[in-house]
Amino acid sequence: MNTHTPPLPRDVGLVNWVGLWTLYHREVRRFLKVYTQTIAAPVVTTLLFYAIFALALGGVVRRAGNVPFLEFLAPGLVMMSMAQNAFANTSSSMVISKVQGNIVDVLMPPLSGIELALGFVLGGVTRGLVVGTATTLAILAFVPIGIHSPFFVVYHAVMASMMLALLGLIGGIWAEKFDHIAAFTNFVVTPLTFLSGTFYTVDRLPEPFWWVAHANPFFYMIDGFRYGFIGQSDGTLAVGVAVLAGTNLLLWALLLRMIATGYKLKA
Amino acid sequence: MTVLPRTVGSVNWIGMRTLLRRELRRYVIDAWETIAAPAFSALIYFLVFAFALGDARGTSQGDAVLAFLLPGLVMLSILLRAAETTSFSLLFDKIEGVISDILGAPLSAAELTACYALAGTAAGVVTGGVTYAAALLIWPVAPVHPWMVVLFGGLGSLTLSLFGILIGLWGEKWDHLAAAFAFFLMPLIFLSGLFAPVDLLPPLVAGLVRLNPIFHAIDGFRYGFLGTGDQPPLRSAAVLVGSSAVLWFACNHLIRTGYKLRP
Repeated sequence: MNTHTPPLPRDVGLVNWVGLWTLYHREVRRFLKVYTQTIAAPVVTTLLFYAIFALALGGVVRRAGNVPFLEFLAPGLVMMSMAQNAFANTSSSMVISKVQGNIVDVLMPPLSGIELALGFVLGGVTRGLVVGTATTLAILAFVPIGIHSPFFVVYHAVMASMMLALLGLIGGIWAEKFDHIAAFTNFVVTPLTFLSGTFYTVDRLPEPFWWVAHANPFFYMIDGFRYGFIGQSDGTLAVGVAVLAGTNLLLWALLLRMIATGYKLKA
Repeated sequence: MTVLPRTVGSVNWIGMRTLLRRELRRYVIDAWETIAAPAFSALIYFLVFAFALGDARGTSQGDAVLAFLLPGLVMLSILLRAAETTSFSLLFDKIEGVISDILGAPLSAAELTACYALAGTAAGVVTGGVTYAAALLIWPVAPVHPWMVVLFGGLGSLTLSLFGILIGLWGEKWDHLAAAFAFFLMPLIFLSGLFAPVDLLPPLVAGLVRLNPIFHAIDGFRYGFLGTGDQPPLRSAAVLVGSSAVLWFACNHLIRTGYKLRP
């Protein structure tokens, strides 16, 4: 007379909201816990860059296009710190989990590929936006910057953070040790960010570099973001909006495919 | 029959050579991160500055800015590499617990300080040399006084490797290392006239910058490249030797007393 019935699995419904929220919450707590490293340090670094470019080039380059060089520089630096931090959040989380082996704790729960990806990516986007806001406030203490078009500021901030968070997650899944992700950061992400027009107008670049700059999606995220503040852009705005949306879609497709096939995640 | 301890003499040369070799292997084995990446970053910085000149690019004024920047960028990779080498090595060993292998060996505090400082200095100088070689590809410039370049490159590297030892001794976890770099070392390095002449600064700030030993390293280094500087090179050299000596004694004292090393 066995009346025992095996426990039934929890019914998670169409979307596992509890699981998704838990993963997102963990991703946010990961960076908030070490806020000196993840928020304060990027702000200080950005201010240092700002001071250096102001001092080193202030006397030579007074204007970039029709705006003072310092006003031109500020949105670029904000975007750079957002991008780097969104990338760092997802890539470090993924690589550390894989190296330490606790990635199974994330792969085991009843989370679908898209939920898994969303939890990580939204964490990275949050870090990017938090750092971006903190950096903007810090720079505002030195240079008054107005907002020309809130739509472009928000759209580019979100899309760029998402793009870099996606890249970070893809890089993190690909990397097998810290060296790999460090190399990916040093030799791919940093050059793309630095050579994207953060510090100069690409209009007047020598010919080959002009083409390279316009083929770089990072250029459009900085250009559009800057337009949101100063109302002046190097590229066509609509093209930028489309390039960002397209790049994000491609990266999402690639990421979901990687997770679905278990690439370097599942044995 | 009792086993007698090995007599090591007044200096344990074998021990020093072993530790030095281990520290240098640690640096070389990661050559992508410790040599290639800094050189590559310096080139990116240089290109960015060159592009940012805009209309001034190609003019004598623009060229002067780039000529001024190049020694600064080479020095930046020297300084960061020297400080990272020693601080990382010490902290890593502390966190992993293998520092006892080094403390247990018959090496005196002075010998330990010397090995770490020498390894850090060598790492900084080699990375700086590779960075300069890479920079030659896009901006060929020969130093006016090569010996000054070597002297100040070496002294700057030594100073920062000693700073790195202090950070490695003081830190207890990676957060501490990151904080020491972001809030202390980076501002000290970046606000040293690395990228801009100090006389552009307000007099009070310029006075403060001239108190920064790193300013003297970069000023002397730049004198070696360009033949002009803010300070007489001998005075800068004296400042660096003096600050290295103070830092050396501090490191030696902390290692001898076992600060955060021994229970």
